[in-house]
Amino acid sequence: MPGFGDLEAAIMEAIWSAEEPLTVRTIVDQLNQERSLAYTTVQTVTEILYRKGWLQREKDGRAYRYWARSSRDDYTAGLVQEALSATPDRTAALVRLVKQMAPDEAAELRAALDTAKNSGENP
Amino acid sequence: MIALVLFGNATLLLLAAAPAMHRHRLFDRSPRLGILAWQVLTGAALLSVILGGLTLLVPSVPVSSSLADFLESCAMMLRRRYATPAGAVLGSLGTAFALVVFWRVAYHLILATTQARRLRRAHRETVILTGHPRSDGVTLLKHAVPAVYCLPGRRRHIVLTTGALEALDAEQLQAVLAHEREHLRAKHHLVLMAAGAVTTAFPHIRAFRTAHTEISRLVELAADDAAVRRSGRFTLAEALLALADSHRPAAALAAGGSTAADRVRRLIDAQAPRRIVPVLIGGALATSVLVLPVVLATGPALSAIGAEHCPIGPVTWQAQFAPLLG
Repeated sequence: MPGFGDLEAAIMEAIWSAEEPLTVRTIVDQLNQERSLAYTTVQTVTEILYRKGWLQREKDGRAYRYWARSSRDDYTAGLVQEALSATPDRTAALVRLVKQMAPDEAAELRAALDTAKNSGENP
Repeated sequence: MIALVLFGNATLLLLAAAPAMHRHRLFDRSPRLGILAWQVLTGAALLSVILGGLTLLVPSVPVSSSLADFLESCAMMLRRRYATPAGAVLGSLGTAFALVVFWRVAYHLILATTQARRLRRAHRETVILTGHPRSDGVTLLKHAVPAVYCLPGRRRHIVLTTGALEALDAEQLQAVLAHEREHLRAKHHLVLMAAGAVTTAFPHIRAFRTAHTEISRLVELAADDAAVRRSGRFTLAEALLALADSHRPAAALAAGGSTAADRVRRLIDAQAPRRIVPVLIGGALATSVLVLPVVLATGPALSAIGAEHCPIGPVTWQAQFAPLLG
């Protein structure tokens, strides 16, 4: 099995795409359209995701039905927020490309850049 | 006394050299040299202080070819040091001081490493679960706000939002990816983390804060330079402008103007990278600053190694030059 990621991502994808909570059986059937996976493997990983707090579940008869705690967009927004957060990251967990710039500063620089390019300088 | 020289060296570095380096912006044209210089300054200051404390205990390192002689010389020096109350206090204070400094640095380095790993792991897990891997190895996040960043470490990722993808054309995207790849290749996260840890360990020393700020800035310039080598400076300048120019209210800009603007200006102004000779001279000066205190502390010992006979007692500067001084 590949390292953490592929299967977990596929399970989350299946759950986010669904319109209602899913059982492990449904997830396995969906995933098996593209790969062959054992029921127990998917069940184990789904339970791990539940225990890590990604999924919530309720019992439906003998099986559990799982749904995501938050939407994909919510998680993504959290990620970008963290990446762009204003505090200088002392622990250097991430290295982001560029902080935001004031609009008038950006306009001034754009003008300067255009001038430099038009003066035929060698890039 | 050697200790005074070492403490003096540290003071000079922190109170004079650091502000001078900061004021004159020596390194904007050779950011990689600048990163090294700030690291050397920090390391030399810390090393001088630690060695200074230790030489208060044992003024010179006795060296001989046999371990027994070496230990006996050390014991003799310690005994001599502790023979007088003043000497004992000095020796103990010196050692305690050296140990405290060493411990603070080590502790905060370890703390920073574990914190960074934990944050990174949590973030990376979310990226893996919510992102879409592309064929070029970059992970795409569906999000309108343009953002590009990298997750360094053993399992590294470059992350890109759909907002960024829309803001950049193909060439600009490659420039930006080259910038991130340079961060990963040169392991800038380690340099930044070390600088940050030293700042946390000694928060009252401004030179360390300056070193951290400057290293953070220079690290971006170094990555910019790598991207320019690949894609040209105008392409990168356009990419930075496209990403930084946003309709959202800017998140807290750095005091005194935004760094992104400085970077774009630097790309537009296009000074040639510094020539190699000044770079080498700078590098030599920087290295000598580091080496000097170590040489002073261990010089007598090093010369003893080259001596024709094994010294019976500890070798000191005075003993060395006694024949010359008459």
